[in-house]
Amino acid sequence: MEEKGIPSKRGSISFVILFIFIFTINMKFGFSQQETEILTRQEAINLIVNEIVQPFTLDHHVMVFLGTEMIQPGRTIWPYFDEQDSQTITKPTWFAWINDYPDAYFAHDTRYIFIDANTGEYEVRTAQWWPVLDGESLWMTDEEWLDELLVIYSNINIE
Amino acid sequence: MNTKIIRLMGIIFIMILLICPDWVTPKNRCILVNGGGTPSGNQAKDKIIDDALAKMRQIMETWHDPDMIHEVDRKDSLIAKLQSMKGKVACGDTLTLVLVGHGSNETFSFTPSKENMTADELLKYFKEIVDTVCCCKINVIIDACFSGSFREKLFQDKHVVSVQASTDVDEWSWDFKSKYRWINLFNDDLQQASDDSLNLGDALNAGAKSARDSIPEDIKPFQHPIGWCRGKHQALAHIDMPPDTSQGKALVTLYEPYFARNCSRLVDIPDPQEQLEHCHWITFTADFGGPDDDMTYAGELKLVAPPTETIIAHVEGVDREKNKLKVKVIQPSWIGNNLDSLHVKPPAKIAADVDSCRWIKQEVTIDDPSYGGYMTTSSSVIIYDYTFRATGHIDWVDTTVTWGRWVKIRFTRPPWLATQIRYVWFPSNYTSNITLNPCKSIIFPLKPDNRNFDATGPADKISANQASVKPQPVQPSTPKPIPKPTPEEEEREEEEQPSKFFLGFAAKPEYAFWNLNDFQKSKETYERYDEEEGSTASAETFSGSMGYIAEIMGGFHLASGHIIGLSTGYGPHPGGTFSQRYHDNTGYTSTVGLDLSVHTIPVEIFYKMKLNHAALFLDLSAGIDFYRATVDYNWNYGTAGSLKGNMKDSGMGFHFSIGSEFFFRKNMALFVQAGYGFATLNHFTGILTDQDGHQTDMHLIMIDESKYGESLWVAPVPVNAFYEPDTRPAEIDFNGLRFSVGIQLFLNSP
Repeated sequence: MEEKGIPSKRGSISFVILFIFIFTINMKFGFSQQETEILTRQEAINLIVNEIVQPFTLDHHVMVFLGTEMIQPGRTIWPYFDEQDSQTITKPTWFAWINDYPDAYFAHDTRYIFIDANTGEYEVRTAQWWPVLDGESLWMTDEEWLDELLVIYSNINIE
Repeated sequence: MNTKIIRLMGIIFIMILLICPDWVTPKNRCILVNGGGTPSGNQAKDKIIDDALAKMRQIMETWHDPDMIHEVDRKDSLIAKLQSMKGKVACGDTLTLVLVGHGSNETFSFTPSKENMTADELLKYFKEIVDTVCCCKINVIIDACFSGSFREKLFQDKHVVSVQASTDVDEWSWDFKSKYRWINLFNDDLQQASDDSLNLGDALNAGAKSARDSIPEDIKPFQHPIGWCRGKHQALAHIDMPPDTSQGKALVTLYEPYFARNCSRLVDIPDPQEQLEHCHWITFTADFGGPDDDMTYAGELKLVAPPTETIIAHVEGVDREKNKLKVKVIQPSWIGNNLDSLHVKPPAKIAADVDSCRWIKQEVTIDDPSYGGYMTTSSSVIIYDYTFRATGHIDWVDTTVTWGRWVKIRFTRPPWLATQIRYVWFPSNYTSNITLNPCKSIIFPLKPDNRNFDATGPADKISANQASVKPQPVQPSTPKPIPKPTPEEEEREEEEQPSKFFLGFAAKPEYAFWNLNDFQKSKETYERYDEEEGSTASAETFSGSMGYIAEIMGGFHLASGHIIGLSTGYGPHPGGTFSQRYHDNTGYTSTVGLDLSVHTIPVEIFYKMKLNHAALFLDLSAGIDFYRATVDYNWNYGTAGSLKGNMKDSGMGFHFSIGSEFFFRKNMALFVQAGYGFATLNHFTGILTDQDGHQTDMHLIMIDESKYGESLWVAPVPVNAFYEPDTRPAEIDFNGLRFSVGIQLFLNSP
C-alpha cells in the first residue's frame, strides 16, 4: 500500500503542477488574444450606423460606404480635389465614407470616418469630395453605388 | 479723281462682301464644356452630362453654324479654344459658353483630368479675346455646384451680357437623375424657344426662366438658379413707395424680368400721366446693367393689373368673417414666406372643410409682393389633394393587423416636413415590394393634411443595402387608431387570421396554503391535556388543500402581443380533517372530527404579454374569490352520546398571481402560476343533532378556558348559550400562497 501510495502522491503533485502550467498558458494565451482582438467589419458597421449616422435623426439623404477590408498603416487618404488635406493611416483602420446628400453634385458635404480597428475609437472628418486612397478614387463607380456589400446604409433610391 | 477712288473702293468692298460675307456678318460661337462627373469619365453620372451637352449642341445649331460649336473636356482645351478666338471675334459676334460638371466656390472642375478653372481665370481669358473689340457679347450657362458664385465675377467684364447659373452662390446643383438636372430642364425650354424661332438672347432667357420654375418640389428649397441679363427688358413692378416719397425716385419690387424677381430698385420715373400710388403695378422699359448696377428707366410707363400666379399652399388659419386665410406658400418658391395672407373676394367663398392643416391650390393675384403683403383670389377656395414624394426613416411598425400597417416615420423629404415624426397608414398592397422594418428607409407617395397621413401609392424599393445593422425599434409615443379594413381586406382577414377576440377553458389544479390557526391551537391544547392529566390524547390537523378549478376565459388583443380578458370558474377544495382522540384513566373516551370542505368561484381579470419567444406569454391576473365552506362536526363520547351536523359559512376574498404560458399547440397552452390570496370565514353556523335526536342551532367558536392558562379549542356551542369565559367565533383563514399548474384550451388561438 505504501509503495503504491508514494507514486499516487507524486501523481497528484504532477497533476497539480500540470494544471497550473496549463492554466497559466491558457491565461496568457487568453490575454494575448484580448490584446490583439480587432473590430470586425460587422462591429464597424454597427458603430458607424448606430453611433455616427443615427438613421432616426437624419434630415437628409445619405449613402454610407465601407471597404471590405481594413486599411493598413502607411496608406494615405485625401479628398479628390483637396490633396493637401491628406491623412496617412498609422493603425489598422476601418475607413468609411458618409456621402451626405448623395443626390447633389460635388462639391458637397461628406464625412470621412476613421475607426481604429484595435480600440474602436473613431475620428470624423468633413470633406467636400469623395475619398481617394493612394491616388485611387473610392466608391465613385455605378457598380459600387449598387454594391450591397460596400453600401452599408442608404436611404435613397438611386436607380 | 476723288470720285474715282471712292467708286473703286466701293467696288472692292462689294467684291469683298460677295467673296467673304463672314468677315462682316456677326458670328455666333459656342463652346460646350464637359467637366465630367466621375474620375473615370464613363459612369452614369458622366453620361448625364454627355447626353445633356449632346442635346445642347443639337439645339444650338438653330443659332450656330455647326462648325462654330466646339466641345472641350479639359482645361487646356478650353483655354486653347478661347485663345484661338483672339483677333477673330468681331463686333456683334456672340460667344456662348456652356459649362456642365462639378464645381466649388468660383471654381469649375474638370473631374477626369483633375483640373480646376476659377471665375478669375475665365474672366482673364474673356478679356484676352475681346480686349480690342467693344461690342461682342458673351453668354455663360453653367450647371455646377456653387455656379451662382460666377455671376458677379463674370459681369465685371462688360462684354458678358448674360450669365445663367443652376444654383445660387453657395448652393449645390442637385439630382443625379438626368430628368431633373437643371441643364436638362434648361434644354427642354431652349428647344421650345428654338421651335418658337426666338433669337439666341431671348431663347437663353426663356430656357433659364423655365428651368428655374421646373426644379422638382423636393429640391426647390435647396437649389435656386440665378441669372442676369444686361440690356433693355420690359419690367413689371410693384410700387412699394411712389416717386414723391423717395427723393423723387420710386422704390419698386420687380416681378419681371424673371431674373430680377423680388429685387427692389430705386428707379427715376418721370412724371406719369396718372398718379402713382403705393401698391400700383406698372410696366415700363428698363435698361439693366450688371446685377450690382442700377436699373435705368427707359420709357413706356403703364399702369397694369397685378400679375397672377397659381399657388400651392398649406392653410395655417382661416378667418371666415373676413373671408381671409393665412397660408404658407410652397409653390411657386419665389413667393416663399413673404406672402401669407390670402383675401377671398366675394362672392367667392372658403369651403366649409377648408381649415387649418389643409392644402389648397389657387389662382391668385399678387397684390402686394413686399414682405407681409397679400394675395387675392376671385375663385372659391377648396381643398386640394396634394401628393408628395416623401422619404423617411422608419422608427416603428405596428404589426397588429394584416390589412395594413401604421408606420412611425421620421421624414427627410419633402423639405418642409424634414425631421418631423408622423404616423402613416399603409394598406398592405402598398408595401408588398418592400421590407417594412424599423431602421429602414422608405420612399412613397404621401397625401398629408397633418391630421391623417396616408400613403397614396406603393412604396419604392430602396436600391441600396439597409440590412447590415441590427434594428433598434423605437416605441410609439402616442397610440394611433387602426383604420378600418376594406371589405376585401376584412374578408381576407377573416380567412387568414384568428379573430381579435378569443374564448378558452382551463383545468387548473391548485394547491393553497391556508392559515388554520384555530385548528392548530386546538391541537396544541389537546396535546397539553395529555401531559397534564395523564390522559392519552392525540390530534391532527392540516395546513392546506389541493383544489381543482375549471375556468372559462375570454379576452381580446390590445396590440401586438398584448391581451386582456376576464375569467371565472368553479372548483372544490376538499380541505382536510381536524381530528382528536381523548382517553383518560377513568375510562372516558371521546373522539372529535371536524371535516372542512370549501368551494370557490374565482372571478379575475388577466393581462397576457407575448415574450420574445413567440409561443411564450407572461400572465398577470387579479380578482375576487367567492367562498362557501362547510365544517362537518362529529363528536362521539362513547356510550354517553354524540353530536353531529354541518356548520356553514360563506364569504369573499381576493387574490393576485403571476405566471407564464407556453403554447405547445396553436390552441393549447401549459401554464404555471403563483399567487397569494386573502379571505377569512368566521361565522360557521348550523343545526347539530345529539344522540337523542334533539336538534340545536349551534355555531363554531373558539373556547377560552383560562383555568388551563391559554387553553383554546374549537367547539360548537348553542347560538344563544351563555358561555364563559370569553369566546370568539372560530376562524378559518384562507390567507396564503397558492400554486397552480394546468392546461388551457382555446376555441380560437389568442
